[in-house]
Amino acid sequence: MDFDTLFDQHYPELARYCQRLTGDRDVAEDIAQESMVRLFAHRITGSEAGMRAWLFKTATHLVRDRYRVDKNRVRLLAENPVRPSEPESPHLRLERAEARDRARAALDALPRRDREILLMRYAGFSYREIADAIDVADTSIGTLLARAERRFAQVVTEADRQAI
Amino acid sequence: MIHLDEGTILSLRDGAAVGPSARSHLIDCATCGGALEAARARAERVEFMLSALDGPVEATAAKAGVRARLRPAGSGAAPRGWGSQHMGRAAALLLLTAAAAAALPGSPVRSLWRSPAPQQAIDPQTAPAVAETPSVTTGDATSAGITVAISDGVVHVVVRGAAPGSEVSVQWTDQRTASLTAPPGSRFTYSSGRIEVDASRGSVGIELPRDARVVSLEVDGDLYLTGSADALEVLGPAFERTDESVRFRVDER
Repeated sequence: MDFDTLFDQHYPELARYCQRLTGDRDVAEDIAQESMVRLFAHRITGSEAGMRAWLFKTATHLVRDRYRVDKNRVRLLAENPVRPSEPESPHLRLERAEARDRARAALDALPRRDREILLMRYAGFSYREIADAIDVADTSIGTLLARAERRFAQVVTEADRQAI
Repeated sequence: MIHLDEGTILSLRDGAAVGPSARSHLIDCATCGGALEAARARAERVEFMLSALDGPVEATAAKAGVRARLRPAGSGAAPRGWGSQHMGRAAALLLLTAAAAAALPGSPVRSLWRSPAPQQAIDPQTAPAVAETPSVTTGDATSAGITVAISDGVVHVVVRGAAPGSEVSVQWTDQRTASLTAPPGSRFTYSSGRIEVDASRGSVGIELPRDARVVSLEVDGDLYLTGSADALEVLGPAFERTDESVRFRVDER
C-alpha cells in the first residue's frame, strides 16, 4: 500500500482521536503526524487493522509523553488561538463551545487510563486491542470502561443541568 | 439470583468475549436485560457527547508535512523512481505548501516548526515486517490547499478576493471531504461544513463530495451555485459545465 493510500485511510480518524484525547487541535495534529512519520520511518506493515492499532497505540503513548509537561499545552493554546468561522451564528457558536467545554472537562476529570480506554473504545477498537495499547488485562476492560462511561456521562449531564 | 456485573454487561454490549453462562443468564434475567439496554443507551449518549470535541481535520498540509519529514535530511536521497528534477519540484511544492499552510491559524505546519517532535520510543513489537519506502507523487507547485472532512453532508465554500478574469472551478468527487486549492499566499479558514479563502491572484479549485446534501459556493458576495450534485442551481458566470465539474470565470465588478 502506498503512502497516499495509507495516509488518507488512517490520518483523519487518528487526528480526530488525538483531538479528543488532547483537547488541542494543534497538538493533536502534531501527534497524529508524528505517529504517521513513525509508521513509515519504522516501516511498519501488517494487516489494515494491525496498522491502525499500531498508530493509535503510538499516538496514545505520544500523548502521555507530551503531557508530562503540561505547561506546553497552555503555551500552544496561547500561541495558536483557533480562529472561528465568522458566519456561524453567535448563539450556535456559544452552544457548540459550551458542549465542547463540558465534554472536555468531563474527560479531564477521568484518570488517564480510563480516558484512554473510553476514547479508544469510541474509536472502534476491540477490548483486546485496547488492552494491548493500554497495558491492562483484556478481562478488565469491560469494568474499567463501564466506570469511565458512567463517570463521563455523569459529569456532562450534571454540567448540562447546571447550565440550564 | 446473582446478576451479571457491569463489566460483563458491557462486554456483551460490545461483542467482547464472555462465557456461555453469561449469555444464558441474560436470556432469563429481565434485570440484566434492562441493564444491557441501559448500557446501549448510555453508549449513544457518550458518543454524542464526545462528538462535541471533534473539529475539522486538515489533511493536505499534514500529508505534505509528513512527506517532508520522511525525506532524509541533507541526503538528497529520493524515493525509488525519482530523478533530481522531480525531487526539485517536489521540494518546491513542499516549501510552498508549508509556507502557505503555516499562514493558517492552527496549522500543523506551525506545530512542526514550533516544537520538537515527541521523543518517546515506541515498543516495536507490533512491527512484524518491513514495508516499502513510501512513494511520493508529483503535485502542482503553484498552489496551496486545504481538505476538511464533511460530517453532515453540508458544504459551504466562500471565496473572497478573486481576481477578475480568474477561474473558479468546482469538481465533484467520491471522497467524503471537501478540498480547496488556491495560489500560495491565500489564507484559509474553516469550520464544520464551511471553508473560506481569501485568495491571492490566480485560480481557485474546489472539490466537493458528490453525495453532499447541500453545497453552495459564494464568490465575493455573489452566489455562484447551490444545491447538490444531482440538483444543482448554477447562478454564477459559468463558461463550462459537465456532469463532473463546473467552471466559472470571475466577472469584472
